[in-house]
Amino acid sequence: MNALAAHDLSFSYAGRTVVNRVTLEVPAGEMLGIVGPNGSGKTTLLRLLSGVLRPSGGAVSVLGRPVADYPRRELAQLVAVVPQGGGTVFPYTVEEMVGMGRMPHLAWTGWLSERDREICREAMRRTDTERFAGRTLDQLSGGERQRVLIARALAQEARIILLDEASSFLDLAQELGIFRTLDCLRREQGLTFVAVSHDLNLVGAFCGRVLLLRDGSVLASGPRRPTYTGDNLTELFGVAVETVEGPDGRVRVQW
Amino acid sequence: MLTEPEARSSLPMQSRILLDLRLPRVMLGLLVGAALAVAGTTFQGLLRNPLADPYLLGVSGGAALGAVFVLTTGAAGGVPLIVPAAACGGALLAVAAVWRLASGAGALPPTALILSGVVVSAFCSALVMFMTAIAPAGRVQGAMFWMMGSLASPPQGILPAVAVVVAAGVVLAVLSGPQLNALSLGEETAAHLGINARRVRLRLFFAASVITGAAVASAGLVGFVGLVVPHALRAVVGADHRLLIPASALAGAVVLMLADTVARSVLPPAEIPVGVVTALIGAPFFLVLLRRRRGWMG
Repeated sequence: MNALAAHDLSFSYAGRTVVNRVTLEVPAGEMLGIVGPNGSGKTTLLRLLSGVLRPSGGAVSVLGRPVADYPRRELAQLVAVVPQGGGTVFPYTVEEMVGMGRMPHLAWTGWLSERDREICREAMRRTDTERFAGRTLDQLSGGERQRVLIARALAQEARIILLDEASSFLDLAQELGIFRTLDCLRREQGLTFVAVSHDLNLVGAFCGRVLLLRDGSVLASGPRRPTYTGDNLTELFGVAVETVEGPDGRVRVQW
Repeated sequence: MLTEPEARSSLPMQSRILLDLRLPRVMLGLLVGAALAVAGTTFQGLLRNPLADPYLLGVSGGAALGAVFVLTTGAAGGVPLIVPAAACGGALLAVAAVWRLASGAGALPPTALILSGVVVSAFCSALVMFMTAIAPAGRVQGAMFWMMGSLASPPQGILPAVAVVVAAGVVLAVLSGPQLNALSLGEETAAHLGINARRVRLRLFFAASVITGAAVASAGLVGFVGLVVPHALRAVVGADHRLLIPASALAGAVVLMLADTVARSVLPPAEIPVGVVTALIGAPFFLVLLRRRRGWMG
């Protein structure tokens, strides 16, 4: 079954069509990479998928049920979002931040049980953030902060995790570390990911499915092998691009 | 059997001063302090702005204007509790204006929001002074009561109602601590965490405005408590609103009660309005904060 699907999804804002009739499917346990030039509607598409924006046409479904039919809290138990950045105005500690991932599971008092805390500790272990649990977010590097936000999504115990440029502005080692963690979670726990990314090589290496978005419309989408080609990417970005497929199926992009 | 007044009148003078004068005043100080500190903490979290404070945002000014309006126009007409009700109404209107400025496209950056609050305050103050100046003598306490908060002479008979309103508002805010944590990360993140951001925000804005209105109706404009108390507490208990809100209630209550003790006792027999004491401490504190945050607050 598809973990996440969108059918004929459109979104217009101030008379401009930002997302135009996008249809996509992400089977459970797969990672979909969304790539496209700046302003092609990637972030808007992600916000439609997460349910914070209402589409002007079409629908999103999570585990076969329309997103609009889910109560907020129930949707948050299934879908988590890792935003870009994660700076906060207030000095929350890493532990408090990850603990907020438990929000959709907590009783009205909002206090964490011992089980909740164990889930948070496990999420911090998976993302290698446990050692700065007591520090505040502004004492961390960009990459560390991003890992904390991934830990929050894991603490949420969501089956589907959406990432918006979660590795931009990070150095190579940090970026690679994050994608390796995600890949590991996908294989071991069957989590489903949708990642908007600027890094074509990371998408080629880790995303089994890709969606190429241009001016809000799907240029091509599907499994990596027939979709993520030099021709398609050349058309998408308007720059000559070649791809090389490795023996493990990973695609390297050159220009 | 003695009736209560007779029983009291037979008490020694000092006990009567304690029971009839000091105790209500201490109670009022605790209530107003708790209300202002909790309102400040809540506004800061909702607006994601650590400089927010009911006084600096112009919410207290709106409340004072509401109260003075019904007093001077005679609309009060003996209706019980219409003055605190009007103060709450004024506070709600001011908060609605603040929210419009702080949200949506073209939202003001944090310091500009505070600046607009200060302008709203100045405008409300001018109207309050105007209305008290042209009001028939004896209809209102002087403008000074509303402009420089004081615990010395609360309007008669409103203490019980103020206590109920402040208690209800503070309890509501305390119970909303987890949701305020999520909202302080932004509306979208709150939604991703399963929070109905709109509903929680409305509820908290309402609670914070109403307790501000109740505080202003009984003590006039007391500034900076809602700014200083949450700031100092974040360094002690951290940013988690589940702890921060109840801690603000307690600390705000104690701080204002102490400030009033200072106001009453530094220059006997004269008495300084407690709002002067809080401003003398709070204003430099605000400037230090502003300076430290320069660079990214815009």
